[in-house]
Formats: sequence, C-alpha cells, structure tokens
Amino acid sequence: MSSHREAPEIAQDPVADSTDVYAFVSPDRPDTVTLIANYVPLQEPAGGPNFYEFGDDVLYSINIDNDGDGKADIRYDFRFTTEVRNPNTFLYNTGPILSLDSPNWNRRQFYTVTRRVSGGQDQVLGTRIPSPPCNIGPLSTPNYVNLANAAIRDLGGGRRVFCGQRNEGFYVDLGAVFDLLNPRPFADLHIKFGLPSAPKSGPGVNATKDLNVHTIALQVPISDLTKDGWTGTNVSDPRATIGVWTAASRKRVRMFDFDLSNTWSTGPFRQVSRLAMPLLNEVVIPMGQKDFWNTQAPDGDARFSKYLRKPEVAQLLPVLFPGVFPRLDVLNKSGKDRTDIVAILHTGIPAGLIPGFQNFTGPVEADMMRLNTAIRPSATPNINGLLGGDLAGFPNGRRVFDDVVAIELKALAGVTYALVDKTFTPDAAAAQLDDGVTPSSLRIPFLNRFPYLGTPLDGFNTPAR
Amino acid sequence: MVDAQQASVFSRRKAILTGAGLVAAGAVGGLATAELAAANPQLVSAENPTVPVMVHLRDVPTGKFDVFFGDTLVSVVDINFAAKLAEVATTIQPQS
Repeated sequence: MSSHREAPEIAQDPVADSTDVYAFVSPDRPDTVTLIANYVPLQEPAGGPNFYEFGDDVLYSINIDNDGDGKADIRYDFRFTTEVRNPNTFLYNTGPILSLDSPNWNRRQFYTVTRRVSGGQDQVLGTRIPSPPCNIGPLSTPNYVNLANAAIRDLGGGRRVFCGQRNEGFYVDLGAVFDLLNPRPFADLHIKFGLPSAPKSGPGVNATKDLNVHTIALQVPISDLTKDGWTGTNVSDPRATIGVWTAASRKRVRMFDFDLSNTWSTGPFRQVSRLAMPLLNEVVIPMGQKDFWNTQAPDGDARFSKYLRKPEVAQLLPVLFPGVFPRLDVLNKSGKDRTDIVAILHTGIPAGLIPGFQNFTGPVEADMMRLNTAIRPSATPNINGLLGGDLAGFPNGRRVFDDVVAIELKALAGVTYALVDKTFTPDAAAAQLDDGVTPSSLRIPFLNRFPYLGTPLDGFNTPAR
Repeated sequence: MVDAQQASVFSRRKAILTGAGLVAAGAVGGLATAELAAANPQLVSAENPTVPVMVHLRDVPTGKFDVFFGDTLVSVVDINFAAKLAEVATTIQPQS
C-alpha cells in the first residue's frame, strides 16, 4: 500500500502509522495549500465498541522544508486528548450523537495545533479543537456529514483544520500487488510457477473500498509555507517548491505498570513513522531497512539512494513477466543507475526534462513530497498527473485522486527513464502497467472542498452490503 | 550522584532485565534526584511526587544511566551504583 503497514514495527502500531500524504494547491482556494496526513490504516467501519481514534501518546507532525536541505523549516504539531464522560458503560455513545458536544457521546477526542518555525517562536493555532466521532450507524450518527462539517475549524489567518475519520481514498488492488506483483489486467502475462490455479487476467479490485482512515487535514496560505512567504507565479523560481513529509513520534519509554493498572510514557519524543512519497518505504526500501528508515529524517536519505538507483520492482518485472519488458531487462542488466527514480523520489525533477515544469529542490537527496506552488490547479485534472500531462498532479505534490500506484508502476517499468536518457525507448507494456483501479473504484466519492476525502462509511450499513 | 539511601530506595523498586541493560522504573524519589532537580525542578519537586521517571542503566562498565522524565532525557554517571545494580540483576532470580 502507499504506506499502510509498510514496515514490520509500525505494522504493530496503527495509531502512529502514517499511511498517505497529500499536498496540493487547493483547487477551490488556489492561494492556499492543503496538507493531508492519514493514520490508523484499514479501518473496518463496524470496529466497535472501541472505535478508531488518534493516539493521545503520539506526536503527529507535518513538516515543511522550503530551502532544499531536507530539514524542517516549518512544522505543524498535533497532540490529542481523549475524554470519557462515563467510564461505567461500555458504550461509545448512549444515544444519537447530533452535535460535537452531544451528552450522548461518551468518548470524545480534542486536539491542539502548534506551528513551529525553525529558530522562531512556537505559535499555538488552536486548542481543544474537537474531532468528530467515527461514523457508527443510522442510530448513533444519523447526520454524520453535519458532524464532520462542524469539525472543520477556522484557525485564523486563512488557515483551517480537520482531524477525524474519513473514507479511505487510496485506491489500490492490494490482493494482486502483494500476490507476487500480479496486477490483474496483466495476470495472463505473469509467470505461473507451473500452478494450474494461477489467476487469469481481469479487472482490478480496490482492496480499500470498504475501509476508513483517520485524517489530519490542514489548509494554509501558500505564504505560510514558502521561503520568505513567496507567492509568485514563476514556476522556475526555487522558492516555488516546498518539500512535505509527515512524522509520528512516541516517547522513548513506555511502562506497563501492573501496580497502577495503567501504562505511561516518558522522555523525549522519537520518530517511529514517516512518510512523503507513496510506496517508497513500501516497495523500494528492503525489509531489513524499513524500520530504520522510519526513524530517520529525510536529510540523511542519501544512505538509501542505492535502493532507488537499482529498484527491486524494476528488477522483478522482467522476471515475473517473461518477454514483456525486454528493454527494461536490458536497462537493468546494463547496471545504469535509475536517475529518473532518484529525481522523482529524492531530489525533485529538474528544469528542462518536462516543458514548463520543475520541482527540483537541489542535490540533497531526501524523501519529500515536492510541490511547486506556482503551478495552479488544473481545470481538467488527469489522475495520471505528470505522466498524463497534468503538471498540477503527482509527483508534483499529490492530490487525493491521483493514481499513484499506476504512475509509480509505469515509472519503475521504465517510462520515465526516457526523460534522462533520450536514447532509451520504454517497452510498450510499461505505459500500460496498471493495477486496474481508479477513483471510480471507490464506494464514496471525493469531496470538491476541504477536507477533500469522502465521508467515512458507517459500521451499520457497510458489512450489510 | 546517588547515595546509599537513595540506592536502597531504588533497590526496592521493580527491576526488569532488558537485553544487556537494566531498566528500572518508579515515581520520583529514587535515582539521581539532585541531577533531575537541576534539569527541571518543577517536574521533580516534592510537591509533584508522581511524575513518572524511568531510569535505564545503559552501560554497566561506564556506569552510564539514561534518566527519562517529561519530554526530557538526561545522562547520569555512577559506576558504583551501576555495579550494585548489575550485581542485583545477576544474583536475584527474576520475578515471574
């Protein structure tokens, strides 16, 4: 998945598991950028009585680098606090929840947002901001859209925030991808290992169709993020591009105190999860490095560069699909570095490769989602982003609907290598490589307004479908 | 540094072996109170006795302790106390 359960340790810690990052110039407020960080993956909507929530003991951060050194210049911190009205019932709610201050809602969560500037003063943007409840069902949350809308809060200065449950917008055919990299549309071409039961080709299946996720969404003026508050329209200006990543941190010590029948944590926070570009830690970084990768800051990512220069997926494709990727096979065997993948994932794409576009942040290799804020939102967005000729889409930031799985599969298959080596002609199959799911594979549509991710599925109806 | 009285208080607290190190946990009042107070007097004052403090004996030969409290980590060195804890860890049967 993008980064759901992507590393052994964080797979055991869902509330701290960064699953997706989105960063885009807001289509309905193009003077702002929307930043979205998702956590708590693969939520089955009926998962009560202890429904999903953020971790009170987790520090959630959205980091911004605006000078290309891979270090955070601006950071938005989110800390959550859970309050229980009545500990003497097992119920999440004792009647319909019709408002965020409903006395029927037994287990509520509030949060604080703090803006931190490197070398500057911390600015608390909001305190005791309520998260909405999870979407439980028609008796408990009969007007869920109203509850969610009430949880969108103005922070002043053109900023707004939402933290709470959303429908999972990351569409992907997990079952096929992780069954030995076998996208269903390509299944007939996949090696069969001599098995008579090997799957036949068919349409993709969205594995996340009936699942929810928890979202931290922040919309802020572009000037809040760029170096010196730059808000120009010159795409080539180095100040136009920001790098975004999220992190989750836990205190270094946790005590399971049997005498006091509780747990407590203490000491400084240390990062346990991070995320920027989708699928990087998932399918590029090897298993033995994934947990370590999650603890590191982006400015040291040069140490992982070798995995991008010889990406394992690119090596596997000619093996798993015999005869389908002959040119990729030759490229692999040439030993040449995949500098296209390094550019996409670690440095940004320099000027001169794609007309009218760059999101290069300099030579420092760092996993950041690079967004050129001078590029306006597209009036006719293409889910294939840059590969589809849409300069406002992935990997120029990431919009909620961008088909990041297909884009990265195509890139790893060699489509983007032609950008850095004009003599290279990609295999015909490379441009077709796809897991076969699109936003039409979602059960809940995206919103055309903040927070853009759709209304979460409710627990009563979802299993009944 | 830790005096004998503090060490005896500490020795009555639970000790858990974790790999090569020794982790000890308890409310304020055990190890290296002076150093903690200097680092953050509000956190470890007598008026606030329940702030969790975790002490990790990181390295027995050098006597280096990590002391965790609040959002802070401080290092304390006490070779004699480290040796005493190591002796406890090797001579007493762990509680199940």
